[in-house]
Amino acid sequence: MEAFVLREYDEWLADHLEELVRRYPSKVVAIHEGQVVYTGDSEAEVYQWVAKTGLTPMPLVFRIPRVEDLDSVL
Amino acid sequence: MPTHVFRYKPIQGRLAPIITVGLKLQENWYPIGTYVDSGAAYTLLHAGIAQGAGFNYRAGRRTSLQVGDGSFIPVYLHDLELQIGPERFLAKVGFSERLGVAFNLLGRDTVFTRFKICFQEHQRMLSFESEGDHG
Repeated sequence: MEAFVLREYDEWLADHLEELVRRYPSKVVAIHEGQVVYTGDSEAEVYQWVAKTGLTPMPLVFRIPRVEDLDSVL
Repeated sequence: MPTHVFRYKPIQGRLAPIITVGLKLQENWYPIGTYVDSGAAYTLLHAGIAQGAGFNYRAGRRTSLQVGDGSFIPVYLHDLELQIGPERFLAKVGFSERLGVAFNLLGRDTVFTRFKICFQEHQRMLSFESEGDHG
């Protein structure tokens, strides 16, 4: 995929992850063109929604951590 | 050598080495967020990603990996294309239904040999320097 798309998603996540952790802890979100376009409980559910919409570029689907998740990384 | 720089991601005042990478499943590329984890032998992803993409992850080689609490989780390993910055390469990628952590993990296989990875937490950035020609 285009490297600039990955770069834009990464920068957006760096700017907004704090807000996402407050608003959507433990949810799975789809991010597209600078906004959350869908939230669900699993990656499978969110990707199924993404497939129906046909959004391009492919949205970034990301499970929102809780702060305590940082203590449980392998 | 090309260097790709990423910002640490803040989580309630703490910093996490999370980066966005590309994953190719079948013919489609998916951007995914991954926690860069030198303690993980392989890149490990939530099985829901494969399920949502219609990828039969259970066709992969089944193995068990020990996790932080000492238990073992089943993982299905595949050779898949990853993308970091503009660089694409094959790596062992595992899917698990019992990952036990919120994050997908970007592990050592191929990634840590292909790139010199520098964690610069004080500068709130991490860099991936390509280690040269990998054919």
